[in-house]
Amino acid sequence: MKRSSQVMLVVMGVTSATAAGHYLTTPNECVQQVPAAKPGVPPQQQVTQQPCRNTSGTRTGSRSWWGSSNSGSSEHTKTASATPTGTPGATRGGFGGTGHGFFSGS
Amino acid sequence: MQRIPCDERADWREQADKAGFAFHTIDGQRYWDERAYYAFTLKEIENDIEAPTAEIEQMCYDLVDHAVKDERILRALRIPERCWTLIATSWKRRDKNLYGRFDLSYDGRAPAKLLEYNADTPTAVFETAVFQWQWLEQAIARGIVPKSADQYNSLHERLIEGWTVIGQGGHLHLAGSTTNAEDLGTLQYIEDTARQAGLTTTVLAMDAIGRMPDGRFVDLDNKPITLLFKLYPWEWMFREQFGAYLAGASTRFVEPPWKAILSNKGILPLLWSMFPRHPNLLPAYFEGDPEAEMLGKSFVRKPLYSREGANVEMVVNGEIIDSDEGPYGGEGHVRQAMATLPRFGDDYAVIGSWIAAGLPCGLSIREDASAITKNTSRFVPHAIVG
Repeated sequence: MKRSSQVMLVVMGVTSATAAGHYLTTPNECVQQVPAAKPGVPPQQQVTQQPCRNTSGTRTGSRSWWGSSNSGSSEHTKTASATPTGTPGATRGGFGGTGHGFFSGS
Repeated sequence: MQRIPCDERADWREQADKAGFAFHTIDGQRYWDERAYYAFTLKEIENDIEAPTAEIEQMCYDLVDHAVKDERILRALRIPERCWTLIATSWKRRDKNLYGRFDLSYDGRAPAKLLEYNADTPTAVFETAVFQWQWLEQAIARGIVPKSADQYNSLHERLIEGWTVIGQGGHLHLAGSTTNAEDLGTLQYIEDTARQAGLTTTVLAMDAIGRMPDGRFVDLDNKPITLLFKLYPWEWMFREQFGAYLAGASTRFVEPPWKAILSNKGILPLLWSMFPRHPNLLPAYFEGDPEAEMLGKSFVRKPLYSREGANVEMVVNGEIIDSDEGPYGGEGHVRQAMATLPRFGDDYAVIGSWIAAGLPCGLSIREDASAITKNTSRFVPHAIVG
């Protein structure tokens, strides 16, 4: 549902006071997105292209099903865990201590 | 705004599992709940949710602009002094923010009221952006909602847009608590939006982040982390061992350090002070402020730092009638006027109004038998039907 974009640009302009938003809004151009490869899914079952959602607010498109299937390698992503404890040379563990047992989200 | 009981999709669990929505059920209880949906008119969405969200966001920017120039504000927020320069620098450098969620009290009649701003590590993003949309598409196809139904939801597209601008096609590291299913799910979804924006990505646990002798933060392969999405609160990072080295690091963070100001409940009294009697704000004061007495004996007491409703107390006539346990509160509290949450049947409903890449762009609703929204509060989808 995209009918909001132009409306909100106007509102932002009206309410702008001293501080500018740090996010520079840009036209939401429709670009064909290539979804991420899913680990464990044969190539023929991978979704190779997503429909582009119409910015005027119709329901013609769909979301990328990032977890809809899973698998193997992706040229786009990797998990830095080839060496569980990490490559020597760096000090680790300086972040993350507070989070054990607590939810990080809000 | 109405709550409309409806049939759930018989296969929604399979749909959720297929989509990678691993936390649709938490401790055996429904987290995703489509036995009802909330129906809004387009006018309610545009006038009462979307426009106020943009306005509140702008007020928050004004607040940050003041705060980085006034150490009294940073002190009141209990932000460690060693982090002030980092925060101010990130603001002056105009480090871009990706997203946030305002929690609002709204009943379809009175103006929406800001309960709090989840500015740093908002979750419920996947179920809002993707699974809720899937529900709408299938609910229309199966006759559960009217064929003309729509949804206030372009969060997915706004996140991609955000990464396009922030990432510029480069490499993104994403870090958080990878052992928590909800946090990991959020990280994976955010990762996917970044990849769709043309970025390459690496996911790692927060405690796997390394620091080289030259001060650079690196991943497990000792590759420099130049851009980091962290699903991990700034206030925790500030106080941890590596927090001392943040200012000297070359890493750019999303959310940026200046969001540490806005993720603090202390913004509630600060906003009320800057914009008194604003229709979308509730009276709020720092605890200990003599003006807090104006709230009388009924108010909501919130720790400056708190997540998922932890340590929030509802006080009525001087007595705590509802509270949620947790580890927070050591840094102080604020008191906020009690908002009347809409109640449908036995449940209270809280609106989550999303903003991403600079624009309001979506809505999520959480229900709970308690007026305090918690991690386990159920997610109920919505539709625009009028």
